[in-house]
Formats: sequence, structure tokens, C-alpha cells
Amino acid sequence: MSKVQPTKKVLLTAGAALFWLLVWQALSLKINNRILLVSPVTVLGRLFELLQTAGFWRAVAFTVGRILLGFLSACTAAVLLAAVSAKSAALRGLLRPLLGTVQATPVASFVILALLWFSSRNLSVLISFLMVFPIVYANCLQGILSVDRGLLEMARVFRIGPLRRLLYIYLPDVLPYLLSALSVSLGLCWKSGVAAEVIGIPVGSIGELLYQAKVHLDTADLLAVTLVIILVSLSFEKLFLWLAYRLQRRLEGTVRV
Amino acid sequence: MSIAVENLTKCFGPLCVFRDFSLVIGEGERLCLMGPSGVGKTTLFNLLLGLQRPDHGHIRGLEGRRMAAVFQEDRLCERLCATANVLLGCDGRAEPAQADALLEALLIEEEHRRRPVYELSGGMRRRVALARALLPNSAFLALDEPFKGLDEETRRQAAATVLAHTGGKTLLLITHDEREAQLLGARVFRLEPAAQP
Repeated sequence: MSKVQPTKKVLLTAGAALFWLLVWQALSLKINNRILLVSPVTVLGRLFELLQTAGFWRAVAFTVGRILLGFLSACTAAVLLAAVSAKSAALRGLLRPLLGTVQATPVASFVILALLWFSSRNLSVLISFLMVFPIVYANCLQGILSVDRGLLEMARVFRIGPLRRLLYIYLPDVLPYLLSALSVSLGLCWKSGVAAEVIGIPVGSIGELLYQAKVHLDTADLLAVTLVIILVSLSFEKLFLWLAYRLQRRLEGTVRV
Repeated sequence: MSIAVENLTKCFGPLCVFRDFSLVIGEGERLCLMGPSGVGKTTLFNLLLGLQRPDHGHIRGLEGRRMAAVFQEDRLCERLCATANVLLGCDGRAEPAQADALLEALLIEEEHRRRPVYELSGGMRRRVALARALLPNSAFLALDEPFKGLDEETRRQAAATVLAHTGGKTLLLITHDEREAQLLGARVFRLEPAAQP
């Protein structure tokens, strides 16, 4: 496979995006129905209008805050539990069927159950937590279990402290697994979090905006809000992966102890 | 305080590597363990370092004492530079200049000391592992084929550096080459295969 220069790659991506926007525009002109398919120009116009309303920004903040809370708390809990599980085969065995079930269960089932137990306001926190936790836990555990036993023995003989063990022995082996988990779960938590809000309809959320768009058959609103969700999701994915890569780079090369 | 291995038995399944084995290493003594492959040299090394437990018997004289080792494999943190790997053996209780001086004595030039160790040759990596073992203020030093992969001249220089940094330390050397024992002035102890039940 031939290698593509970075600038050329950006131009190719931009060209491809432009091509599909033109296809979309052409299709919307051909169909000429504001319910079935609105044009990208109409969507951008509606998005511009929404961006000027305080309610829209509040809805974005509401959903972003909750999904991020679910994501971060799932990551923290998963990493801690993976660290404990790595020491105990019994705990790993105990958690395996539970996490397998969580991963296999449809989001909608969780949403309906959660609505019976909790208020819909924090539904997206729980759902994004449930979607992220098993992925981060499984990858992190695999990373910890793959750490070089020889290095751990070396650390024991030399009495290397827990912080240095973590930074220089565990993290270099676990980080690639964690990065892969973050990459997968970040996209998933947005999709499932917003889907949960559409079902639970918490007041003042992005999910409620999508629900209203559905009820009023307002395709322009639906696509404008979807565009915002995609942009926010991509931004967070890039930000988290950038931070994780920076951490990885710091641990590489000529790091001083 | 000397190290006493008393009536040690260690078996792996039906195979007993040691059966009622005893050995004394005097305080500050340099002992070279020799013997055919599979006789139990590395097992004894691991038992002394506390990485394996004996089935029966005791090892006395190492309780709570600081140890350092060169393992059969280099066991370096691949993405850290040579200096950082050496300092890691002291858990941050040494200055980079001390690590650099030791690496220089082991003929590792500055340009190589700043590189991640995965970029270094096998011989250089071995000397980084050796420097890591020499820098800490340990009472017991265990070296499992520390000069593996070194040419004659580098081996002599490495042996001289070991001698310069191990005054008063109890040292265990494992090797197949008796000349290495001579270079370090170590008493040779030949391990014999344990009698099987």
C-alpha cells in the first residue's frame, strides 16, 4: 500500500467530504421534501440559529456534563477494579459473567430498567458508565496481565517503590491497551448516552431536542443537533487520545527517573 | 553476617533440583557457582533473592538486607534511556551523574547513555544491567552470567568495575567460564545434580 503525505491526506479527506456534501445537496434538491431530506445548507442555517439560543447551549452542557461524568467515573472505576482483579483470579471469574451480560444487553433494556429505578435526569450518566466500564476494565486487565513478569521480579529485588513501578513498568505496557479502550468507548458513550436521553427524555437535554425534532418531524433540527453531537464527540475523542499519547510520549525515550 | 543455606530442598514436580543442600557464603565473600546447565544455579539464585521459596530448609543472613542482581535476561525498561534504567535500581536515591560515571566506567559513551535501551546492542544492554546492579548500596549482589555477550577487553574492564564497586559486599557469580571467577577473585563452588528419589 502506498504512503500518503499528511497534507495530501487532509486534502483527500476534505475533497471526499465535499463530494458527499454535494451528493447530499443534489439528493435533497431532487427529493425536494423538508421532512424526508433537508439540504446541508438548511441544516447549517438551522444550526446557526440554534447556536444563538441559550437553551441550546444549556442542553449541550447538560448532556456533555452527564456523559463525561459517566465516562470518567467508568474509566476510574474500571482501572481500579482491573488493578485489583489482576491480583485475584477468583474476582476475575466472579466479574466475567456480569460484565459479559452488561456488554451483551441492549442499551434500551438498561434505559427502561434505569427509568424504573432512577430519575431520567441522570440517565445518561448511568448508561455511558455501563457502556464504558466493561471495555476499559477488560482492556486494562489484559494490559496489566501482560506486564513483563521479569521486570516485576527485578522491581521486587531492587525494592523499587510503587510510583516508579507504576510509571516505568506498568504504564508502558498498559497504556496501549487503555488507548485502544478509550478510542472505542468514547464514541460508544456518546451514542448510547444520547440514545438513552431520547428514550428517557430528561428535560433540557440534547436527547429531548432530538425527541422534539422527531415529534415535529423537523429534520433540519434533527440533523443540526446530530451534527453538534458528532462534533462534540469527535472533539472529546481527539482531546482524550491526545492527552493519553502525550503521557505515553513522556514515558518513552530519554525519560529521567 | 554470612549467608547460610541450610538443608534446602526444592523440587519442580517429580524433579528435585536441591535435596538437603547446604552452603555458606561468608560476609564479603565472592563465590562463583558453576555447574552444568539445569543443575540448579539459577534456581539457587532465585531462592537467594527471595523470588522462589524452598520446599524445605532455610536461607539465613539475607533478611531485610538490600540486594541487587544481574538476571539471566537484562530485564531493562525498554523505553527508558540507559541512565534512567541505572537510576531505577536505586529507586531515585542516586544522582544521574553517579549513574553516568558508572556507565562510563563500563565503556558506554554519552551518546548511547541518552538513548532508549531498545536501541542499544546486546553487549551494551548487558552493561546497563550490570551498572544498575552496581550502583545501589546493597549488601548482597547476585550476578547471573553478567559478562554474557561481551568481548574479552570489555569483559576485563567490566570485571574491574565490578571489583571497584563491590568492596565489602557479598557477591554471588554464576558463570560457565572459570576465567570470570578468576577475574573477580571468586571462590569456585561446583553444583552437582541432586540425587533423585
